[in-house]
Amino acid sequence: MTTPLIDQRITQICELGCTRVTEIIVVLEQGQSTPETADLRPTDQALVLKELQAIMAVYNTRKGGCT
Amino acid sequence: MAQSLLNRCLNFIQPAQDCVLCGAASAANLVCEACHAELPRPATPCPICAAPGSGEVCGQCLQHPPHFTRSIAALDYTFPVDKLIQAYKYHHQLALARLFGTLLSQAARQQARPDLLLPMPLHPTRLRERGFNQAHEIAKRIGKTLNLPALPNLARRIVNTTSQATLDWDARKKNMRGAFACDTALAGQHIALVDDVMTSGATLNELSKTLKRAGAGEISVWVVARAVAHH
Repeated sequence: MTTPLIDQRITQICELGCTRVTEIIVVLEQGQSTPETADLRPTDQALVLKELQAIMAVYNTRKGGCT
Repeated sequence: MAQSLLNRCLNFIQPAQDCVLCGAASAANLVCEACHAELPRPATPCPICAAPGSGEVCGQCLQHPPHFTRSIAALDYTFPVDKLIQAYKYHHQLALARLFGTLLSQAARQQARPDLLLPMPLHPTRLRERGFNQAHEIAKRIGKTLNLPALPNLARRIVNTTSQATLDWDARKKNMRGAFACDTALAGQHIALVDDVMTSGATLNELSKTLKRAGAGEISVWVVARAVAHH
């Protein structure tokens, strides 16, 4: 369950583009934070990660990936 | 003498004309070479919705994936392309279909080849008012150039929607809901939707949704010009 804060943050991260979103996912999966998520609580970072993974799942199967 | 006679014969077959943009002599072309070279073309658009960007999938498409797979636009919808399209659509400058079709065929050559072209359907009422379907005229040209069937009756516009131009972004989506019908089983076909301008993409997305429900495997969007989006 996401909150308006999480939704807003996900929108901001998505605006950075597909490549950066993928990079952020990798960092969050390693249990670290990125400048875009550093101010969030660990539970919120986990929610952001889950949402970003779901978003990218659509495109990871796509021929050409981000481009 | 012989050259002059030849020119006169050529002029008779294909009359020389002035460029529709600058008025300079442009032989048999609607737009002279100089203006043609300066037409605004998309630099690094989003591969999904063709919105101007960095060449990557844009934030909007990441968060709200459309029903179509990819889009190409031959031109940016800025001056003078906006004037050309308005002249074509609202002032019956039908000869421009040839230019738009040629430009879009060139842009589409590098794309995955679809099975067929579907020009954006107009509601019968709008078709009667306008007298022609601007997307169909362009699709016919592309079909001829790329040897693809253009099937204007594959889908129907069943709701005479309010003009999208008068609505904001959210209202555009709502306005288009249930606007199309497709009674043909499309069984995995790759369909390229052809239209003159893509703005929010709501109309093309709604039509794509209808076609997917009818079994289409993949939808590409081919538009003459892409407007800069303001979500």
